[in-house]
Amino acid sequence: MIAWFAQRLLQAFAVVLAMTVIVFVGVNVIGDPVAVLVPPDADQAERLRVVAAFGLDRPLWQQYLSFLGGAVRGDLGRSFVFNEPALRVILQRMPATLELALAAMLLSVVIGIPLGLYAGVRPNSPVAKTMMAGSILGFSLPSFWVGLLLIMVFAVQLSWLPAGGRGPTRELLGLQWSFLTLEGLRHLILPALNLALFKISLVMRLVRAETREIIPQDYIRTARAKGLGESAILRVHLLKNILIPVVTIVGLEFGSVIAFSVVTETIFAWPGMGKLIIDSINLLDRPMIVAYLMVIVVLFVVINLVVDLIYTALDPRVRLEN
Amino acid sequence: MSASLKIWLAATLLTTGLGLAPAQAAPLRIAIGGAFTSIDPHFYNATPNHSVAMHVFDRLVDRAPDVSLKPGLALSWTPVSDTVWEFKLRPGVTWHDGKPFTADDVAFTYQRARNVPNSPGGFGGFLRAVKTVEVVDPLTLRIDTGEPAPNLPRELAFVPIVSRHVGETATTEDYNSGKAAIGTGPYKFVSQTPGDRVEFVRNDAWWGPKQDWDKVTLRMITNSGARVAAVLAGDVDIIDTPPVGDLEKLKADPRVAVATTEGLRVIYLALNSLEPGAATVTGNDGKPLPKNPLLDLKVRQALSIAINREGLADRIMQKTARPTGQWLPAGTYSYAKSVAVPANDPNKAKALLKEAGFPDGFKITLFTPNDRYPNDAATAQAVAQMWTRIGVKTAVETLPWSAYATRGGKQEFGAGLWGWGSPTGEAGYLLSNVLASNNPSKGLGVFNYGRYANPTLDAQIVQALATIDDGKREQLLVGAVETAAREVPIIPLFILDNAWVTRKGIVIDPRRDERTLALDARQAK
Repeated sequence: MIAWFAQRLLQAFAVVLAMTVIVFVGVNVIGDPVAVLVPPDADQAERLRVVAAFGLDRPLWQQYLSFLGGAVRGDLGRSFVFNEPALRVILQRMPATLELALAAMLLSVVIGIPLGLYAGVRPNSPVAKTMMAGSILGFSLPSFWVGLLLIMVFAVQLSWLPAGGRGPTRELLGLQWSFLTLEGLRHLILPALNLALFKISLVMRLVRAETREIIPQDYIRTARAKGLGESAILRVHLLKNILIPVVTIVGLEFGSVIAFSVVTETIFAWPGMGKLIIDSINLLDRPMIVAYLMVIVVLFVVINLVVDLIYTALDPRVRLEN
Repeated sequence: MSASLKIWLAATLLTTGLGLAPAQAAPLRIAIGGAFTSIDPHFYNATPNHSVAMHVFDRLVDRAPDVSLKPGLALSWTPVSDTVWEFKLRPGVTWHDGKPFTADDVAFTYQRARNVPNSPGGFGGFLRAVKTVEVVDPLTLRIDTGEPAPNLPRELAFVPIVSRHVGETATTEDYNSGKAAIGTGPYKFVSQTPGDRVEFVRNDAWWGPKQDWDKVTLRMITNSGARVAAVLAGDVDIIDTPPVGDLEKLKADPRVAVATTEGLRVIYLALNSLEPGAATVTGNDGKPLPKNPLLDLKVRQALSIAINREGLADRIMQKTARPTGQWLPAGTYSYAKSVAVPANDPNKAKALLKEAGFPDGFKITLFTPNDRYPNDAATAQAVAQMWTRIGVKTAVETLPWSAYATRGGKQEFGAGLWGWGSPTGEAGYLLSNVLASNNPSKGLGVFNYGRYANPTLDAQIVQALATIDDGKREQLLVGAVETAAREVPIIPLFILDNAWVTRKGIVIDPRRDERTLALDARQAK
């Protein structure tokens, strides 16, 4: 266990390091942040002051080394645009993104698994067929379009829900969460649904496929033969066996929802991290871009770790040692 | 006077007094498209940041929505000599924390504003002319500019005044947390959620007219579709920069009203005037030309009149821009009445090309950003077709702004599409930054992307910028605008309109300078 963990940590460290090099070089190639940021009427002295303040007058390898030096001490640099530590800006936005991602994943699991099970057990019922056809829509409709449609219908036409933004927040564990207030929940519904639509379809189809594969197997037949009730068969024998791929997919999707829910966050004016990275790229706010991508790498590493741990809980045959 | 009459009078006074006193308890919710980055009013010089700062902080000199100057914290300003301005300050003004405002706060501000640590480009430009600030008495200030600085009042209209007692120890983070966000302005800062919103409450002790709103929320919704949805759904009361394509529909919608005004931002084409010119300007065979054709006045004139500006404004911009041959809207200080919109004449353009020695034209690439100005890439494509029609075979290359600005700064473009705002609302700002020969050490021609150079024009610009008398300076500026129209150093296309959408029942005075302020909004009577 400890050896496995240490190895994982080492891997993660290597990935993060490689990431910093790629991002540092990549961002440097895109363009000159000073040309983008400095106001039109700045004179040469002002420009030089900004270049020096950002440390852009030093060669790239020096900038990189001093960044690494800071990173070791937990300092990922200062945002050019906000003049605050990049990590702090990211962490400020994180609760908004986390609650949106959690709400979306919760919806996809709570809706996707039962529907998928039903469609897998009764593949020929008209309801199951309708659901499968509907899931194709969930897959294929672009999320920005669905988002705008949701806004048009539920906010503009019916005025049931707000068109965007995050509701009032309340503090929990030192962070600000909006799902703790009623108004906050109302703001959460549309973006979470928008984000969840694709995932619901994904989980549903996955669960259905797995169920169809397992139902004809011998041990299910044995369970039936010994007179076990249908619900017990589903719960004990079927669900546990189909969950491993589901957990893998949900874990990966969770990571990407946190990191790249840019479209939904932009359309719903949700003040999360996804919007932050796009704004930062547009303004070439290098420290923000680098810090953000590092946070995301760490996030993915942690999620994969958790997924592996869940595997062992679901299937006693899986061992953490290689 | 009988006792009963006195009582009656007192009662009337009291009730009318009361009738006025209870504030209309209306909150105002604004959504803007730009991203504000800081509450520190001197951290970053960008329109969204100005919009936020102008609620909390006042300026020495204020500007009406049409950018004409009006008294702010200063009641008057007069040149004492060619190089010294005297400002008389407004008496009885207090900071949000109750302390009195004095000339010393202004002196402190002008020193702080240019030295904000880590600022990505702040307010140094507006204060370049300020050499020394002398506090004569608590309500009188003299600013020595070293050399004539006729635009000083216009420039100071950009610099929000902070107090010495709070500001001296305050960092940008203290402003963001609200600790140092103490101004003299019409609204007090309450809180901000970075990347989302700022909240204000009315400052009842403000010196200006009583505000209609007791609370103001300024949200940022960067996606224009989402912004329109928010105002249609009634989530917000005012939005800025609605998408060009939605304007007609919004004008017809009974739930909202649209307010527009001609802005101060011109879209123009810069032509490469170096020798040798850009590699993307070639002969019809793709080989380099012996001489940069863009250096020939006739070629530049041909390229200018080949463009159907009315068509661009009408179709591409869908009536949200107005054709121009200069860069300021009619009626602004230093607008040249003598300079008309260049008439579209493809035949004359062909004749001019022939006279210049290019009967079959040449090849050129028109560069354009695709994420910077409304319909920027579409405009460039239309221009390319118009140029191709007169024989100048034009290819279009679009780039994201972050890459475009960098390459444009290196003179890599033969022709490029740019926008330029004249925040000072006078012609000199563009003249000195865009048309003067590139001379960074003097702060001239810093944004002369084509590196056009014309000593006559330079002399006119320098002379105008050193003339204190407003009337005389306007004449000189108009003269320079006329030279520019004759020599075609840049090809102005159109001036963008600014638009706002409000819920019915709310009126906003559209501002030429693109800012969105609760101060300009009121309830419809």
